[in-house]
Amino acid sequence: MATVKERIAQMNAKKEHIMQGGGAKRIAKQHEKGKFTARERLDLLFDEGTFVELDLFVKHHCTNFGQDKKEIPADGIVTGYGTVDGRLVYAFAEDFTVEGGSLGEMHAKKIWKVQDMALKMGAPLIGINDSGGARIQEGVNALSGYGGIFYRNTKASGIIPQISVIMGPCAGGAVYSPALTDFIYMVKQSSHMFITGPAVIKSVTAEEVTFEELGGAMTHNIQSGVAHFAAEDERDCIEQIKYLLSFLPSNNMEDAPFVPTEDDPSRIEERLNTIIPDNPSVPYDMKEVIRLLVDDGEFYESQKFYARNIITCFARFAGRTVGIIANQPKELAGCLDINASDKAGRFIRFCDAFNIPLVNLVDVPGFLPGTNQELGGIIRHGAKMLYAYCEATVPKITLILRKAYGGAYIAMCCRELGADQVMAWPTAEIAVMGAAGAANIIFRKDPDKDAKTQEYIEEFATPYKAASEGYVDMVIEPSETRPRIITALNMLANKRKGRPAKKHGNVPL
Amino acid sequence: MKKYNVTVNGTTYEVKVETVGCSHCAKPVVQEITPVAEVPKRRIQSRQEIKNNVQMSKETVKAATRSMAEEKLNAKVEEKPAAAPAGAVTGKPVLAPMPGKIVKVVVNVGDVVSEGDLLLVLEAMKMQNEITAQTAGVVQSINVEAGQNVKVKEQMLVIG
Repeated sequence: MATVKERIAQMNAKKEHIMQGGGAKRIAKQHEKGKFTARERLDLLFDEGTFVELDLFVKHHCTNFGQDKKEIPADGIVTGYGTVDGRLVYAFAEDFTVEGGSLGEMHAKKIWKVQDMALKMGAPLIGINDSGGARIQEGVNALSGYGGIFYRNTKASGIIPQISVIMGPCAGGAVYSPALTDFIYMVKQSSHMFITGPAVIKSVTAEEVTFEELGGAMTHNIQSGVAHFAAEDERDCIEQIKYLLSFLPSNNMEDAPFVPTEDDPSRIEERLNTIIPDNPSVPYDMKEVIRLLVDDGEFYESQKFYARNIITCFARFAGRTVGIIANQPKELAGCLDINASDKAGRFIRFCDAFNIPLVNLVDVPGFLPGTNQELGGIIRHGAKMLYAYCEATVPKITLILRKAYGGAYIAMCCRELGADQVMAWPTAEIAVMGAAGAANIIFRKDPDKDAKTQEYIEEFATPYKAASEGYVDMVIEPSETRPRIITALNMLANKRKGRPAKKHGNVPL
Repeated sequence: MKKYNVTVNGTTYEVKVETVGCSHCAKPVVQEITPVAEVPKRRIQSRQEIKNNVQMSKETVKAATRSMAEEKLNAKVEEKPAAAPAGAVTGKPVLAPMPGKIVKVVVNVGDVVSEGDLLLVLEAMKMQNEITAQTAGVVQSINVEAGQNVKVKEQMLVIG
């Protein structure tokens, strides 16, 4: 029988052995690709010395194809918890140096464990994906592993923030765990996501496509909208994740953290008085408006590169997180289209789930006309945005800066969709349709058409018709917008709104 | 039908070849020739490099792209691929993001543009939408003029 001292030494030796992962050679190879190892990534993420690793000694028990003779340290994944900026966070990181980070039964069960714990304790879960996919030798057990992960992702959705980070390959079934979570980060050049890779695509459809074109970070950030954030490298990526966490509550029962600011809540911003061009057909940059309104000019955009005609971002007013949904007149005239509706709909639902008030900045000429929009199903996609706004019970503040026409006026959270406060700038044009179009219908046979059209513009392309009906609560000077929004948010802080009990609604997916 | 990549004087063309009639008396017919856009080589930048790039002043970037673009233009003039069919263009087409009317075209053929430069103004949804260059290069052709209506995804000009 060994002495206690020997046993302790034995334990330390075992730990040290497992911690080496795939060995020095594979680690060097990982570094060559500009990638960190799983443990290095977690060290970067967590506050120094706070990471507690779970399941270090877990072993697989697959006996197929000589796997029983194979040692897979920690089964190719590092899991555990720690603090990020002092707050509890759970994480798992796949270790590409061990069996290519492939997912086997026990690998999956380690993920299940942290998923269950994060949900039970109400803390965010961060998953770092860097895996070749299912461990084929383990057959259907690997598939079962994925299934269990998806089930838990869905169960935790709306209760804790779930963030997926792609720092290497993520292919086949593995992509669906990130897709079920709230946000996906991708690192430029080194991360790829796809269901079937270039080789399979070539053999089936004869299309030739590179890894980068098919599933690179920018492909998913610009074109597919699968990813929400792009990072220059892994260090940048982890910094961005911490920044995102600073805006979010740990779970759906909490409020987002309060971040004190020097920025005066009653700051009058004269520049806002001149930001809208005199000519209503001249675009301006909505991001400049956001910068001038929020605390310290700071905001963090989700899906910055996708559907740029709508902006979705986190920012703070007087230290409290809000989600901003804003039309961008600089892109596609700020029209709503299929992609913009999907982007906004999902963002609104995230904010609502996590008690983050919504601030809607409206300058929208309408839904984008065109056959590709209609045939692409803009009706059902636009409905997602409407559904999300109607369903949201968090404080909702709508500010109409300029155009608010027709169905798009409704879709940008008008009073009836549940806006608690509707404000308008004097430059607002709130009407059922554009003046020229409306005049063409109303005064079609009138010989005095031109003069009457002008009359219509003066009468209807203003905020005052809507304000006279009470659809707009107040018409304000642009420079005083920040204090007005903050006052409204304070007024709404204790908003209580119930919905009839139901299993869940049927969101038009 | 088979696809081949043929490189003539450094420019790569994608050639589709179809077999017509019986297999042994087949005569290959050149069906379609479309130039393949150059795919940038995969390269990981170091953090320092990224920082340097950001710090590079706008002028240097402009000058660099200009000289690069000019080089490219000269190279093209000198060694125009003999086998290239007339009308073939290498470069990135700028497509109309939505249907509308061209208000004005700011650039001319042969102009050197850098990323973010204004190319033309497209009026759509009662908005003077500024269409800017997504890539740096030389304006190779302009297919539209002021006053003209364009459809969505219609090619407005080509930058190469």
